[in-house]
Amino acid sequence: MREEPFGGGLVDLLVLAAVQGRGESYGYAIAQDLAAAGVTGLGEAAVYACLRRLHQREFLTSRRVVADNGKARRYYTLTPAGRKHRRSEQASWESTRDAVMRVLETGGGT
Amino acid sequence: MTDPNHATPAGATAAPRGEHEARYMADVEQRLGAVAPERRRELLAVVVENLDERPTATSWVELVQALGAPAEYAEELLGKPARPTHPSVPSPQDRLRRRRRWLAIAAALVVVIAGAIALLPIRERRQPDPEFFNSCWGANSDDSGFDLTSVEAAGITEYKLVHAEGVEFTIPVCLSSDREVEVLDIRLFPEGDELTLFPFSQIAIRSRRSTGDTPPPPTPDQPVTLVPNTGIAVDLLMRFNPCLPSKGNTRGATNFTVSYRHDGEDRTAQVDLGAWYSVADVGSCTVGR
Repeated sequence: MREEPFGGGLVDLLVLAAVQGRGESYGYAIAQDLAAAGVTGLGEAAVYACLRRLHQREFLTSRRVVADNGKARRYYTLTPAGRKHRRSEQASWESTRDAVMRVLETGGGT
Repeated sequence: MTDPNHATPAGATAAPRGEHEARYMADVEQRLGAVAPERRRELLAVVVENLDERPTATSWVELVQALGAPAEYAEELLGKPARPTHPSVPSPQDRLRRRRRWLAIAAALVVVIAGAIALLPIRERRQPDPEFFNSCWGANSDDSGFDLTSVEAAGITEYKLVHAEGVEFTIPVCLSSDREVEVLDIRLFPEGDELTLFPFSQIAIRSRRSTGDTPPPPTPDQPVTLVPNTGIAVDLLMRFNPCLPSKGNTRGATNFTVSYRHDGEDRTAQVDLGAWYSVADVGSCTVGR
């Protein structure tokens, strides 16, 4: 059974960062990049569903490219709103990470 | 809302390339049966895009190992609550609420992890359930009274078996698993299922081939060890039952039950047959009335 350790905000952040990291990227490459970076528990279905959702929210633009062998790929790029959303999600994540680290290091006591 | 930018060339449910991909798509579509049609079309467009962009799988097992079982994939597609379809800038209150929610999740995680660590010495971690895969299907018989037709729908094959009381036939199963397990039994229908009467019943399991190195079919007394990257191939021997007035059904079977031993426990799992076996024209079943 696949584990689901990620909240929706974190998935958005990871996918947006992966797209931005390449400037332009497509679903399968994003899934591969995330797996190569050690992100486990996030399947291709979640990546593709997230791309669709981010596109609908106009955080991404896309263009469809058909290769010589007939295979099609949909390449995504961040919009200005997408970059802003990424910054917002990253700030939330860093805040959470810092809070978790404080609890882990101090046991939560003040 | 349908997104025209994502429509596939031949429509949202255009079949992906590759036989395994087509079958996978059909299985996912089946799992999304309860989803509203428009939403289902959107999700299936996502599946087509995913299957078209990734390298074509050389086997069903390879595809399932990469993407998870179709049921898991469908769950993953549906795994998040609906979000607004238009971009919105979160208010400071929203951000505060979000941060508090993150903190609550993080605190809960710390508690769960601490609890799990505390429990480790008491009980070793239970091994996760293995995943099973079947990679062959069809129906065969040496009996001249056996007849069937097959139809393709949404990438899945339906075998319509013609009922003929007493006729025996076999359904092939090629079982593999991602973990080492001892297979005890394989049954098309649960034993002792008194609520559902099927027009045919399983009467035995046979080895697919009679060559010397073919393992015997599993039985509770003589389990067969299933190791990753290898499999066992057996035939499920079936026999058509007598027709019973107002009994029997036409639903047929889409999966089978594997009984196995893993991590010191006897368990069962449902495995996709890869095809749909049903009985053609049940109304003509008059023998034995």
